[in-house]
Amino acid sequence: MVTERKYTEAELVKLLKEKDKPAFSYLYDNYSGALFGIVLKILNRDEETAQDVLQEAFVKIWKNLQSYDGTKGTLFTWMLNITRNTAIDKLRSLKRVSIQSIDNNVHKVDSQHHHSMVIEKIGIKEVLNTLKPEYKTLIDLAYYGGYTQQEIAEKLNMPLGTVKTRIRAALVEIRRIFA
Amino acid sequence: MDIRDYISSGILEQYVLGNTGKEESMEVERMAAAHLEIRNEIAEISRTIEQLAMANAVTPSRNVKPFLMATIDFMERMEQGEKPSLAPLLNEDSKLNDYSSWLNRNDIVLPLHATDPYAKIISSAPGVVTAIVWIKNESPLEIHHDEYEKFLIVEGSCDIIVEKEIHPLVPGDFFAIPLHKNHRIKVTSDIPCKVILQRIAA
Repeated sequence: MVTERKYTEAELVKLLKEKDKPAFSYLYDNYSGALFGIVLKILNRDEETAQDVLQEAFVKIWKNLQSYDGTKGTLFTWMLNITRNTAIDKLRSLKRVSIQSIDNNVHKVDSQHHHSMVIEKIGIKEVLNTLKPEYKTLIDLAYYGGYTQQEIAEKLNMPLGTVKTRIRAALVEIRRIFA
Repeated sequence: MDIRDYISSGILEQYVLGNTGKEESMEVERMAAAHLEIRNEIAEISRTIEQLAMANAVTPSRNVKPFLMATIDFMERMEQGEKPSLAPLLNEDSKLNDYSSWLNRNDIVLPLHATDPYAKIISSAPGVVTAIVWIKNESPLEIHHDEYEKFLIVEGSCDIIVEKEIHPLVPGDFFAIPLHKNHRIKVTSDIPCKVILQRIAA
């Protein structure tokens, strides 16, 4: 089903709060890829589980839209946080990850080639790969791994203050890439 | 606190990512309400995170959306007072007649502009979801490690291809997909292939 209509974010939010299914279909068409990319990273490319998590996250998004408050963040970051939390809960429940394996996974993720999926906008992805390795690791842990700053500090044996400022520096660098 | 120092502390990134606690979040919200510069910075961080996610987007299987929409539809029907009913488990001896109370319902039909595949959930129990599914063309390649999929063909015909084995199916036929095997469905009839599908947690 191709959704042809375009919505502004305000229209979309209003319709979603009214439980409008075409608006939800549009939301899925436009954001499922971005969210699925993150879920796959968190779940180390376990595609079957990632699909279940994506569906579960979108069900939560549908159910909780009433409580979305646009003054506190964009619709996308709100959805992203729901999706990340769902994926991380799943990961923890599967107990597939141990502290020791995290660093290996972080490095493994991007070297794995994924045959059945279409990775879009390869150009920007390549640019992201030019980030300093320590920035990339931090981004992967903080954004895709869902680790708190404290956990990252312990994992990387780095002072908490350094973790905070480097995550920011990494994002500023990414912002420069997108500019 | 100096605004620049506050911004460069990295707290806003953590706030946008939902990694701040309640107290910290309230502090950020107070600071944002008071300073345009902080509001702009939060907007900028949000935009960067969205761009980052879009740049790393991976298209999910075409099968996800139909089942998501079917789940939402089912939740709404239950909320609106539809009586839950329990569909019998599919097996070799299943007959289409066993499912007639769902197959004959006039609200369980293929709409004009539907996704392909299109699904309507008829029964949901812990670990077992039963749906009526219409497939127009082909379903994408899938592999299941923790879920059994069982089919009973209702209308039309299809080939279920497991690895390299082709299983041609017609109305009344039952088929169970083995775990850990690549499989896909190819419709061989002019009309959409209508099936009863049961997914059972392994």
